[in-house]
Amino acid sequence: MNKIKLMAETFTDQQVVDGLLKREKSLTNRIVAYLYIYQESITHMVMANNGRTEDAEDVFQEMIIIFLNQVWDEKFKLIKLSSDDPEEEEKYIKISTYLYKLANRIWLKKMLRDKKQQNWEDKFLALQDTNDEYTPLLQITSEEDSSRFKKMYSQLKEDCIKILDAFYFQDKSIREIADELKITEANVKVIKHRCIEKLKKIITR
Amino acid sequence: MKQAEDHEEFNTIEAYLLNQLDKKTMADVEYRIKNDSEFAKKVKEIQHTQLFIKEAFLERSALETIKALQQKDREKFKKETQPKRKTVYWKKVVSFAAAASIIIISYLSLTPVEFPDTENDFHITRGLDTTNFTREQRIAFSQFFDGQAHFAEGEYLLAVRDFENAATVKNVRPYFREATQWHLALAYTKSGQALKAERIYKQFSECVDCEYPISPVNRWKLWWRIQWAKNGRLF
Repeated sequence: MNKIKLMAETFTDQQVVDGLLKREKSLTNRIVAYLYIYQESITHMVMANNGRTEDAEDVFQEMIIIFLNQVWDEKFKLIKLSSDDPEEEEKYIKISTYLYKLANRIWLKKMLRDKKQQNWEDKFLALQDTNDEYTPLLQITSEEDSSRFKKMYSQLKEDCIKILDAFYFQDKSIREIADELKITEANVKVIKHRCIEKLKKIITR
Repeated sequence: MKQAEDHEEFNTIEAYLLNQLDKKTMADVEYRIKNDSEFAKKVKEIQHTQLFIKEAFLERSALETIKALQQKDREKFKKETQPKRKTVYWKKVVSFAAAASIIIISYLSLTPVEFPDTENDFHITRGLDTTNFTREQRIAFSQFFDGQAHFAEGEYLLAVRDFENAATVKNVRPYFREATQWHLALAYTKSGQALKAERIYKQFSECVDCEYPISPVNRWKLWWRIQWAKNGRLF
């Protein structure tokens, strides 16, 4: 299994996936901070293809969001690569390789969208590894499509977001939320219920 | 009424999913899930929504973490590149100063020292009335212009001799006397007698009531030539 060194904390690929699936705030942030080591290689890739540092940062942000959502949706899994030789050590698709490919695709999409470079698509696609069958790379959608937060933020009102954030993410009690918002506990419960019902309709559509 | 029931049911499901129910109520809910498909579907939908909310906030938090790291890196990069920028700036300044110095030195070295044209200043040099000239004065004026001619021909030693002779005459206008001294200094410089040239230069360089007008640029040219001649270089 691949083990990538980090300044402070190191995670194996398996630990990255398992950690993200625990959906814990602190662990998720630590893993994301660990994955930040790939920013440099992605910056090189973007800048080698007529991009700027700012573009590379955007690509990295989008890449992480897509990766998180793919792990949570179980679209990304650590799959053992087939080998004809039974004696050979087990091989897995590296997260580093996967993220790099993901970033490539995101940048390609942006390049095509911006029409920055003519004939760039052909050149770029020629460089791509076509053996993507073990990954959901081909299913990549844009950040706008996959971002859960953007989806939620675009559909719910500000007070909804505040209450859901406080209750589900910051683990605050109904009483604490009521005190902060200067409304009754009953009102908090009603608003929360309505928000969840609205969100439920959106995501089960 | 239906709304209140729905709300109550939602609270129960949510509490069940957050593991906040007592054992008996928990068992009741689990029984309903097994035997009431409609209820089981509701539980699943709320669970799915809760998960979605949690992931949405996790995603926002992850994005904040990345942005903070990127910001930190930008600041680090800025700090690292700032001294380089300063170095580049100072390199440019030094290069510019060096280029300017070369231009100035070349100008001072290569362009000729220009003194006011004495031949066209006959009256200033000699006075309006030329009939009362002594023989000595006439020789002095003649030698001065001979010196100029020798200088122009590159006969610097002869020019020195002419200017020295012209300078010995006392009863001449200050303008002429000063012109002779300046020409003599230049002739000394050209003939390799830098120390003599320097003595004359020092005598006149800070003169406040002198009549023979030498521009600062031409003074610098002469001074520069004297310094180079002192170091064995000839112009």
